[in-house]
Amino acid sequence: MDISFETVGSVTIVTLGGTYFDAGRSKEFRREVIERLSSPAKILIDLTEIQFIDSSGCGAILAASRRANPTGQGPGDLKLCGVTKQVRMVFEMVRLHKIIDIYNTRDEAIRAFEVDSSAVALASR
Amino acid sequence: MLTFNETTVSDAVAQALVGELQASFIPIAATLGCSLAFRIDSRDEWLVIDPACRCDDEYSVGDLDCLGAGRDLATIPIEFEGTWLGDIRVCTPRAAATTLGVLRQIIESTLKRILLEKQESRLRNELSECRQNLEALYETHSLTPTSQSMEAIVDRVLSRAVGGEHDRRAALWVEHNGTLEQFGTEASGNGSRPPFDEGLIRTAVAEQRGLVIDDLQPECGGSARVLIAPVASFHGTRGAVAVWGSASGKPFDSRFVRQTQALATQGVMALEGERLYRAALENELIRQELDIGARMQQMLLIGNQPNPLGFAHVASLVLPSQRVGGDFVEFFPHQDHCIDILIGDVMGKGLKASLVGAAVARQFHRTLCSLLSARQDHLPRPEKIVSIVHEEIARLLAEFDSFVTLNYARIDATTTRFEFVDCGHTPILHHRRQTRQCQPIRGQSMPLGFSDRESYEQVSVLYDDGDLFVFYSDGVTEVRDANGEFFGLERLIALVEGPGHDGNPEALIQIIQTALAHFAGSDRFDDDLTIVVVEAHVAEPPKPGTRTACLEIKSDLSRLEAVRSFVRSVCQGDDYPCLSARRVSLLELAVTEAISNIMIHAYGGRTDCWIRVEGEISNECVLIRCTHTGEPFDPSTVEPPPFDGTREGGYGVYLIDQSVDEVFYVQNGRGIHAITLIQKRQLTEPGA
Repeated sequence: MDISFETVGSVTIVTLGGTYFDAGRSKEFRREVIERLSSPAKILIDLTEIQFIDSSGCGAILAASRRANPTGQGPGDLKLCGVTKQVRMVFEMVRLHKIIDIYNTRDEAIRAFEVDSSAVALASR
Repeated sequence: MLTFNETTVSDAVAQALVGELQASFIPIAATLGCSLAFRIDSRDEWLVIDPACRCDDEYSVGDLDCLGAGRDLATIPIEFEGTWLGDIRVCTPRAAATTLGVLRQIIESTLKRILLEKQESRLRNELSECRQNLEALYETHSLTPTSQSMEAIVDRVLSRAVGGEHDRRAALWVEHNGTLEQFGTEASGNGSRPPFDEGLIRTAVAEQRGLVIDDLQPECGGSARVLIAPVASFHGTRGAVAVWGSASGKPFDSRFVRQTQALATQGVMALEGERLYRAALENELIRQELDIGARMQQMLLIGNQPNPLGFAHVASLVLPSQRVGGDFVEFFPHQDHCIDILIGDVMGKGLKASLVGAAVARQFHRTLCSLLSARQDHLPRPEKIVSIVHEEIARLLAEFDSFVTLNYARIDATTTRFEFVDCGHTPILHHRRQTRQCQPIRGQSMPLGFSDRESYEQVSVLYDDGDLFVFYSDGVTEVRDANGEFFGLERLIALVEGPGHDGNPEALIQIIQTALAHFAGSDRFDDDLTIVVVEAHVAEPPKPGTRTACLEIKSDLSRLEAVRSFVRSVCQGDDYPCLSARRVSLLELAVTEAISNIMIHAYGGRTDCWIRVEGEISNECVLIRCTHTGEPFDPSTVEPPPFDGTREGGYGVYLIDQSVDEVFYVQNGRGIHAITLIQKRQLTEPGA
């Protein structure tokens, strides 16, 4: 599984390659991504190349989300972008789209992180 | 001569006593004016002490009378701690009773002091010797064959036996295979040849009786003193340590004898220990070689049991004996309805038989591959395969002066035919499920290697669904009981016809194995045991318009993409897709979840197990059947997932249910389980 990391501002972008994210790869994802992430953290997972995901892949993304935002109250968060047709279908089946924010592109997701930060700053004044 | 108690007082004591008395009495005699006479032995000396006065031969009272004319002749008894030791006669002036009383007291006190000193000296010497003996035993006991060379151990034992005496020598003899072997000679002096014949050692060892000879007169050389201390170990090893030296040397007292016996025990045990150690080492090497050989045999000669087959349930048992044997088994599955089974036995045992077996099995592989590559649409007949193998292998068998019995059988589930070529092997047992009757079936061909011109012919029988075919090596029927009686074919048939297995191959093999162990009185057998049981089924004829495909994979999660690729290819159809892209995607998801569950849960994460994936397309549906032999799975025990993000797993069964139209979890009760997923073709879908 090709996994690359990139940092834009305070956001760590994780790009998954290799067309599928199934039980054969979720273990590697947990080892290479989740265990390396600081917690809390702002994480964006780019799934543009993933054409197939199964329940194990969904479980790994949920685990990463918990790592990024362990309390559920911020300041960390995990967002997704580049979700393909099959992946969206599975996310909808397991209701993952109701738990994790999904964006069409990276820019949209990063802007959403910035808006979140602004909102937090305003709220703290 | 002083005739004191010989066990407590020696001549040396008497000499010392005389010396003391002389020194004491010369000034006393002068003071008292008495002329005392002592006599030692028969020598004429002034001042005579003669405790042996009772011996008239040696002592003449007249002599003393002459010396002591006009004097009293007084006798003073010598006693020590209530024990009479002797007498001293003293000539003293008449009426000098006082002189005699003083004299008696002086003699007694002097004697007591001398004896006490001697006794103390003797005890000190004994203590010293005991300490040396203990040191010797401790030293020799701590020598082990693993830490010291055997020569060094024997040298130390013999060195301790000699004990630093210059004129002593020692040697160790140990019995081995009925003969005595000498292990080293420790010689403080010159020469190491014993002054006695080895027969003396042999007698002492045989009778286990020690021997002390104080004055042996050998044919050459001076007289010798010899001690032979024989011992026998707990494990029965016998031997002896012999110590010898000049007859004029230090005598062998009882303590020395005991010490020598202890040293002999140490020497014999050390040699026995070394022999046991070497024997254990050799046994371990042999065991390792046999282990490697048996594993090579397993690898080269015993083919992997085939993966779950839809039309046949195969179980096998191969118990290699302690020797490397020549049994071999191979399975050749063909298409989806046919399997070939090869079971053979090379004449003889050992490496040669094993190598010949490997060569024959490999030749079957090569021949089959060659024939199949020439005509992929046609399975070569068993008799043709065997004939070609024989042509190829006959020269090798002749060179090795060997021959091979075998059965090459084929089960075809579409024709329900069981075809086989029997080359002098044990008869195959055909157990009919309906009648529960078992019949041995045989062919007429000769073993491979018997004749260059042998023609091989196959025999064909029809079978019904659920019939069993039992293949076995002669090691099974030739298991013997304590009386030497063979287990035999009749007992084997009775087991196959008997209750308890209900047609299950694994259960039947277990029953046979248990019965053989019970019959032999051991679960280790002299010969290789090979049993193959096949439960044959009848393949359902494909429905018109139905197309099937099959994939077999190892239980490795990295193979999931290959499974999805297989599902996509099944759904693709010959001319057009059978399902919409979304429903293909859902079927892929369901199959992925099902296979993942089998790998992770049914096989517990093991990656060396097999999963068979069959695809079937009909006008009505696309069916994917995933067959495995792992733990069964009951979907009703799985709780529905919560969908609130609190759980990272447990979505698999839910996704399967949501993705396909129908799902069946089937357990056949014989260790084979299947998950069948069906995606129905909808009217809107192409080709439906």
